[in-house]
Amino acid sequence: MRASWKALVLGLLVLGSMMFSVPFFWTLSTALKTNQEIAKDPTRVIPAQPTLENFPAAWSALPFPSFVLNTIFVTVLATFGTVLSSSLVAYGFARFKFKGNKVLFGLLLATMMLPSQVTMIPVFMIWRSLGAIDTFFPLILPAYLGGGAFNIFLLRQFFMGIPNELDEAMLMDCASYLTIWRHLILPLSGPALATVTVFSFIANWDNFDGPLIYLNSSERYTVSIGLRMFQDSFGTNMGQLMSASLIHILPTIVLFLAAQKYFVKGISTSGMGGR
Amino acid sequence: MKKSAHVGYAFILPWVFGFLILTLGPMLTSLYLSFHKYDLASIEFIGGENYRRLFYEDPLFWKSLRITVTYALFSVPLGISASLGIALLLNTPVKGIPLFRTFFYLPSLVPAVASAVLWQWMFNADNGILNLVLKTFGFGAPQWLQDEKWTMPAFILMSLWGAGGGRMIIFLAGLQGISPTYYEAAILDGAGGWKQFKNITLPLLSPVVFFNLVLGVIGSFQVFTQAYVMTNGGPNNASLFYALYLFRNAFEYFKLGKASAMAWVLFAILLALTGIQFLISKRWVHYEGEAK
Amino acid sequence: MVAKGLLFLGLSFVFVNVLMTSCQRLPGCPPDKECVRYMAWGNPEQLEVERQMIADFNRKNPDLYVKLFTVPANSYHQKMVMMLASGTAPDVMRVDMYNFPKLAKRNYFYDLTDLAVRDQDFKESDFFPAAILESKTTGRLLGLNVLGGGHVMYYNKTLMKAADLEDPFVLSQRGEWTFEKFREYAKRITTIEGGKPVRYGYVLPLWPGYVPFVWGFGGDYLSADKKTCLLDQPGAIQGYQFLADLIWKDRCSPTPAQGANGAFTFESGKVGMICEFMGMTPRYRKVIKDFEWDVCPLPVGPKSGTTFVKGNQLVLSRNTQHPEAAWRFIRYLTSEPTEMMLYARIRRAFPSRKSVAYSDEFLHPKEAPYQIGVFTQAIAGARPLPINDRWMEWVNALNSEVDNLIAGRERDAGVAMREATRKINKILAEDPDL
Repeated sequence: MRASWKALVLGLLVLGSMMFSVPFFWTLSTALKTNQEIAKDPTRVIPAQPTLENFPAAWSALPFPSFVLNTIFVTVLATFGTVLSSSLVAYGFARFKFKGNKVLFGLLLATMMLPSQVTMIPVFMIWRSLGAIDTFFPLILPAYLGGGAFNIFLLRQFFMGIPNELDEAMLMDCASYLTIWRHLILPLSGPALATVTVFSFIANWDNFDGPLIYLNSSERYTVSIGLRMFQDSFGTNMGQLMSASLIHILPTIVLFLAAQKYFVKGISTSGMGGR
Repeated sequence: MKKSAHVGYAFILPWVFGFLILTLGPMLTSLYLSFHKYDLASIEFIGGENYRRLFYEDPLFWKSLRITVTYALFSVPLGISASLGIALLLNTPVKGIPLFRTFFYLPSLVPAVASAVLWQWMFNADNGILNLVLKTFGFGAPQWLQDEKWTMPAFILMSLWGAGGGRMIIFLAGLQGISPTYYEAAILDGAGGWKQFKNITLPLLSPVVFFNLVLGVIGSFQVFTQAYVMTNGGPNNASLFYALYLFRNAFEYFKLGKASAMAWVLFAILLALTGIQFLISKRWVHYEGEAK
Repeated sequence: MVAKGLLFLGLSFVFVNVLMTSCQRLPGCPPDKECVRYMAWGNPEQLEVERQMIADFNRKNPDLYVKLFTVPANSYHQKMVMMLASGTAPDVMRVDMYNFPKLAKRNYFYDLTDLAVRDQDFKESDFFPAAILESKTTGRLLGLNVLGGGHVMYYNKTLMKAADLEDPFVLSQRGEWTFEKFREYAKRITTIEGGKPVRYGYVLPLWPGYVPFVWGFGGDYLSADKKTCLLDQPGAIQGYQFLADLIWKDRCSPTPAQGANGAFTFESGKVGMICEFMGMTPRYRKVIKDFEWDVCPLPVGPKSGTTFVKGNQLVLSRNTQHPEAAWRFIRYLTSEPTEMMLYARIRRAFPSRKSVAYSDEFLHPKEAPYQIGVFTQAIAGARPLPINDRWMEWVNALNSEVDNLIAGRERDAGVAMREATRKINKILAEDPDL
């Protein structure tokens, strides 16, 4: 790569990083302000007298330790389920020409097209009839039943990008379809699986509507509900809201950084992509 | 090579099971309700009356639809191009790239409660960071969220800030999946950067572009949270997105029949748009391993 | 390897912990007691108070166990609707008055009339009439009111002194605190330096905070049967014109863009006067450190000088299995000792009991606002808001026209109000459920 080209790319990266991370750093700066300062001048970027007082105050304002444990529990189980079941289902849709494949896939996509507000009450009724209100089942079980149309569709697109000849070669060696899925498709889809993992983790970590609707005991609440508690009609405690939000997103940042190495483990390194 | 159909069914079984128990019933229920007057307490069959009233007697239905279509028309193409551009940028072998990726992805990680407040501050007419920048470069300072003419641009702009988020990651994953051998061969043939992009990157990335397009359209028609939290539909209904109006009908006015009818109108629109996209996709989306 | 082991250990700890709580049917509820579920909203500080009250109640009533669960304020309504519609509502709930009539109409609440009759200690006359009035639908008692109180004016004493203005409380005592005086004060306090507003006299409150100004000109919203909109009448138009002129003619109140994101909040010290409930007091006490402030009555208009009153209701679910126990609990929440703590000490809202409102402790606070009698007077003459089961719908229609007026897109209140009236009458004439 030419040096001037490289400099341009680097310049764009630095500029873009600055632009895109504004909301994050503003969260940080607000978390470091006193409530008096936020009241006086909320839009000031650099705090006049930075303070860490909001962090312990926010943490002890609500039973966050139990919120965090619940959130980890739900997120880990749901993320695992999503990756497992969406990759199985996506493999089925991507590789098998069975009767009704197209219709069923159309149905799968159609489930995303009806606004959830009108199905919310009937879905709630189903969980109620299963006796699952105020349990984690409604938050976890759907992850094992396909893991959502978005993830299935995403993985299907990636699986269909993997040349067919590879599975045919394995079939010749009398490998089972499950083996092909496990030892060919999954290893070749590192970046796509990392994507689904990250998305699913963040979606469950941040999930607010689900816990709001299905959980009726403060002991079972998750962090995202706790965050919303800081909002109030008689004035939001901005400093505590922002510092709690920062603590909340810390694990997702760590996960995102950790997932980075899987983003470069695609077909490219397996050396089988080219024909 | 024949592949057993039964095995295919077995693989998609978890989804079929979930669909039958958790999704199909509620979908049909809402379709049923859309032909009824239902206020949570009593129910009465009224045929197509909900639909007729939406089309002929509800100016806000049309306004919310117009707002949503405008938003989709701008935010989807602009957002996808921006995401692709950023993904290409973040796919270059530069030192510290994981850190750069994180910076671009950060706005998508900030929880909605916090980011709604931040965006209101950013769009502040007097002290907002956006207008401060515009003023330094000698532009005017629009009253973004308070001026009904600027509310839509504000929402579109805000959606572009998410260009470094999920969609970009999907593109990035797609780019990582393209074998460098293609590029090596192209360079041997003397193809330049643009030619490589046009002849290798785009075709091989087309399944992912297609995915983002379909999902982008579906998502943009269902925008809700930002409008609900930031402007609650105002000023003068300038941000009354379709999903927000639907929510109001369902949970604030208790017109569940009407809300269901609205949902199925949206469903029909999205089904048609997605169907068209699938038809056109045969011409430009290129799969390496389609089911045979 | 070590990291993986630690991660595994940590996760197992989480799983065991969470599984233990998630397997209990109702965590914390002793099997030998009658359990009452109670749902409320509030910020962390309010919830802490709520928790203490419940602990106190549970101690004093060994046969009962009240279990609180809290829902974020902004999502409370949606959650409650889901629960009511599916018959899973808790025994006791808080309901915002705005939603009370439409939920009462759907018969979601337990009729408390008989419980109240049987309870010999319960006397309607102990409460302010406004509180009882709101809790009743067609003569039946459906809730106990946790009164928000009437709107009053909070004012920045330091700014008034600096502008050499006589204390508005003193003016009001003399009967001279009028709309015109108020406008003059707002103009005098407003300071523009170098084209940039530094201070404003008044900040126009959100709906429905400005309603008394419309009433003050003799205007009104709905007819007595709440079936016709009256906003196209001269009084209402004058009221809205007065409000719009504060922003666009007198320039003594920020435009929506200038006031956005709390740029001019009372606690910032950049505002002379605002209208608010008593519920703002705890926040102001906490945040305001560098100026003097107090409360005074709303100014009096050419036709009338009444403020409005609004409360929230404590209700029982129609499906409750424990009506007697739940009744005891909501009676406790509205009892004299509880109200003394909530309203005399914390000043979260205005008491619904007369005895508390006229008590020594309530009337003689040790911190601002000192002129606490203002709240009590406000209640005496206050009117209820025209809340009906279509409230949300017609208010949304009204607000879009008011948006135009206060944003300066429409300068003539007559045009805006005639358009609002047309839309509201159309809504009120339609079938409520279509």
